[in-house]
Amino acid sequence: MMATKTFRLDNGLRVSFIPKKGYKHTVLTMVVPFGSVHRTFRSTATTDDIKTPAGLAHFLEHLVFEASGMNTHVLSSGAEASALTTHDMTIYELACTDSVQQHLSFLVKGLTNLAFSDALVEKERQVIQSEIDLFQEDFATISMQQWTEGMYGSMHPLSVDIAGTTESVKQIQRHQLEHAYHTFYQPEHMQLLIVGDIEASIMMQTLESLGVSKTEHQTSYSICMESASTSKKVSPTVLHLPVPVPFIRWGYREQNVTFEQMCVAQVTLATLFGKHTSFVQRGIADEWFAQNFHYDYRQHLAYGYGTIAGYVFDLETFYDHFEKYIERVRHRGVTQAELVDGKKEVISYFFQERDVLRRFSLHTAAYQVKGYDFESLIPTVEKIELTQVQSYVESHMNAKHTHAVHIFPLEHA
Amino acid sequence: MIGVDLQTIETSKFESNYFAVTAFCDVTQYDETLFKLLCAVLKKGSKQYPSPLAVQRKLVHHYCTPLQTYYDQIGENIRSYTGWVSFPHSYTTPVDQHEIGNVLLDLFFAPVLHEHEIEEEKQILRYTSDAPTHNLTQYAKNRCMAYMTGFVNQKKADQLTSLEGVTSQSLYQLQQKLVHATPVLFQRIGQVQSEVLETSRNMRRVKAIALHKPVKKQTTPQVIYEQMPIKQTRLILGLNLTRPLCDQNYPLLFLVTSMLNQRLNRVLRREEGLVYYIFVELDLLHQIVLIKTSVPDEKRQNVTDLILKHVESIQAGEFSEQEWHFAKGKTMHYLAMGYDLPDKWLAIARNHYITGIDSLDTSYEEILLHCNQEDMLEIFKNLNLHTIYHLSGKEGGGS
Repeated sequence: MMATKTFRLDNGLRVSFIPKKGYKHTVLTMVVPFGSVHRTFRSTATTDDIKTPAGLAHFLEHLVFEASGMNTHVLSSGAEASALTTHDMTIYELACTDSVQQHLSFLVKGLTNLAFSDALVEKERQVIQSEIDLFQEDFATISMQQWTEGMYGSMHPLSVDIAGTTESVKQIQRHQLEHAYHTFYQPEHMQLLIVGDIEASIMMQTLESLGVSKTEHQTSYSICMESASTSKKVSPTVLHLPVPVPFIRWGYREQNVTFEQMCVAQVTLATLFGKHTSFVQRGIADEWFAQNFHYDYRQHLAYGYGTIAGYVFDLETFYDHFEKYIERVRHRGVTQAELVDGKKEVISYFFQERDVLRRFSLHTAAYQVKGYDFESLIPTVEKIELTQVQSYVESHMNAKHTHAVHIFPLEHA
Repeated sequence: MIGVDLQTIETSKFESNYFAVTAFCDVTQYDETLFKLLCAVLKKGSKQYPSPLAVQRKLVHHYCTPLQTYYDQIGENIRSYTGWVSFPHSYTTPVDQHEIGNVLLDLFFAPVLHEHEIEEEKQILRYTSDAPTHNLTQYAKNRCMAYMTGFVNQKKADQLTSLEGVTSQSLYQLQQKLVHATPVLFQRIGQVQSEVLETSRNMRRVKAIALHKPVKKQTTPQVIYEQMPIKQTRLILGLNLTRPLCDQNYPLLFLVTSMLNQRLNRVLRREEGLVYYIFVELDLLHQIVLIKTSVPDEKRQNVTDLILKHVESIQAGEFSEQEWHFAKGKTMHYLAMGYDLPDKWLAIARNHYITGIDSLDTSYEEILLHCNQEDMLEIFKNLNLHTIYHLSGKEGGGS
């Protein structure tokens, strides 16, 4: 394991260096703690809560990417640039094979103090509408969105697509975008990750030479989260889409998730639904579900949820076996050998993810924005005991906390 | 023991090791649907680990990620099937690489072919043989490639007919023919314990197998419309190279791709805001350049016209010095990145094995540094518009 070094610059920007020897490229990631769930917030400049339409953080991501000239910058330097909005953060990323200091300088200085013209706002509004239409045709995205809506209620920020809806994007106004920008895009709230074959001391010299200084008036903000609906949808959500056979997403929710609980969740899902488990292999062999059956765990702020998804050939058969399996685990638990295999799967993915710098950087950012340390995953996973998995299944995988989405082929409509 | 071609790339930069095994099939000699079925059954287990559960358990025991498999089409006639895993090279104690390699190789050389599993896989193929993936752009790209390489010539009904009557005996015969007639490629990237596997198996260092045949030139571009209930048309333009590539000129095709990418992105995405994304992708294996975008129906013709206008303009040498330098920088970056991504590095090495184009060393840097605009245009002028593919919500793509 490599040692991460973290510093804070005079302007408040937190910088972390993660050395990865032998790589030709370096990934620079700027993390802004503003995501799609941050619909209501208050800054020092205002006394009232600001309520914003869905999709504002994502809209802002588009504007900052364009207005900063990130694309022009990378074109002139042979690097790659991308931006991404998640539920709880926005990231801007540069992957470069040379001129690291030049890119670093751009990222540190280029994302703040921007202005957005009306023409740019309107152009990006059009592009975002296209993007929304595009993702509305992806049944994996739809199934997740419909699942969160059934699980948390339609008013919850998790239930609305990160990009918003056609209607909400129409409602977004320039002053709302600017307000969010001036609140969250301040160095003291942002974080820079540098991953690659780099010398932290050289990078620090570059950062110091940029003459970054504290902003004149420090800003702070608070975020108001709507709570999850206690009356989740009881019956499964049913949709008809162009799928060859029925597709299912089933999952559970949890709240006030801690780092340890998140690790327990990942190990539990790998232990119960990993490709090495007899349940999954028997399910594939006996056609309760298809090869693409998989599990997924996500956590955004205090909200965590685990889902399983895939094609099923016959819903009744699937539920029959699935419910018996969960019941059996609830009563008898899992064996020590099964738990060890589940942990090994989590560990193997952890190492694979660290080999691809962009994914490594994204994981690190996603963990840091929650106040977690990606490097602590393995030691925490190693300590998980059978009783924790058993208790996790008992408390989460029951009708009170679960919801399902069933997608049928169009001809079944 | 039957021979295995071995590619070993030793590097300490990755924390995991990557093992991949690929089998090839010439579909002019063997039935493609039969090969697909064989691939589906191969992951069911080997004589030593006779079920998927036994295979996955053995792999996870050694801290391997679950076995991943994929099917690929190489030119008109060659199909390949790859199984791969990764594992940390020294998490607690060094893992048994010998055993992991053998688990993978046995799936190809000593498979178990149970009748009931063959029947199950037939059933799955019947359901899913032309099913879209959840990523419709990827699906559209695959369909465009299929039209370019002749992959769609076999109709679904014919494919399903050829599944009837297949037994474990006939699949076993195909498996034996394949592993005898065509080399199986075993690739390893990472901190590899070399000697163990090489002495126990008849490994040999590889040379290009030259199975690959490029896509034929199309005198008039074929325009394909396929329908699905969607709002945005997935538009893919496929261009194929009509002259052979070699070690000296393959980086120039990447340069062409970078040039197109930056121009189309600047005009269609940034300046006009016509599309959410537009990517230009090079498939070196097939020597195909694919322009991929997604566009509302009403803008489709406008976008197609603009793309073609800019392709022709660059082909005619109409680009600025700045665009030229940007494209060079981008290509250099892109090629260097290949050595930092395990899956890409495996693909580069596999391309080398199939086409004989040696992009495994860093000679691309020299080629790109010294090439001039005429060199690039020479390649670009041999790019021929082959297929315009639409996956659209409206019949015949009508708006």
